[in-house]
Amino acid sequence: MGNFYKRTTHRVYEFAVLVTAPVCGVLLVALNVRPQSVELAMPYAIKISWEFGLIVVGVAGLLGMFWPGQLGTGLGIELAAVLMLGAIAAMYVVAVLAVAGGQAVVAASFVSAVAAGSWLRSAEIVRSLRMLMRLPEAGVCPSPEGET
Amino acid sequence: MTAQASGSPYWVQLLISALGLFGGASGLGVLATVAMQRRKLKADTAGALTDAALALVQPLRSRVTELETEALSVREQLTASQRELRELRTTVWDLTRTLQRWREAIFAPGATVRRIQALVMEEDRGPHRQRGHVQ
Repeated sequence: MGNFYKRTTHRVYEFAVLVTAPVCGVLLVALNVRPQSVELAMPYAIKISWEFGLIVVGVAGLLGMFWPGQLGTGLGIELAAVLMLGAIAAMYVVAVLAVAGGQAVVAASFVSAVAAGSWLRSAEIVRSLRMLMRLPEAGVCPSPEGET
Repeated sequence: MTAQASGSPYWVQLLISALGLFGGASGLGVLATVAMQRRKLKADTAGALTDAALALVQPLRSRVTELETEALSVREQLTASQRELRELRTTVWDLTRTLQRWREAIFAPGATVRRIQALVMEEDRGPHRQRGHVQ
């Protein structure tokens, strides 16, 4: 397991977003409040899974980021988490734009940045995983200390 | 707010549901893939490390063995050549001495054919046996 500093300095934004997501979800559940846009635009089942999705995605993403085992497994978990995070953020963007329209420009911009960033990161992870699978064929060793 | 009016459209809910389904499905799919390919990924990182290292080292190792045997045989040949050289030098030295003696005998003041013949005959049996075998 690489040290904490090394792992977060390269991905501070991702780390911040992944920490914020479960905090946000827990606050929503604990305080039993919902943004009006979510309340209005989402069907009930989606609303509930959206809330818990925030928590699950954040925890899973952090778990993947700091996975103590194989690098590939950690990356896979992180990939699942950021894919879902992107979807969750995009759902909120659609909801807030539909409900508040022009007033939601700032919120929608920043949250859609989260969605775009998550999906870009997932594309990056897919590339890394593919590279990781090709390594042994090329006869190259991935550096054992730095990354696992 | 005008929320109630614009919040209801069917397509918004559809879009959100589609996004949610996409997110959930892709996340679960990736998790399932990772769980299934765990072994492979594992082999890729830790296992492949040793495999790749071995694959790299193996030809080098056999090459080293090859070179070692080669060096050994070359060294043996060198020793043999040196021994041969020493022996040849000895032989040349012996022959030179013999030639010199015969020359002296031939050019000696009272040299006769008989005396020279006696000398050569004597040397044939005698002195040049003293330094081991001659090739």
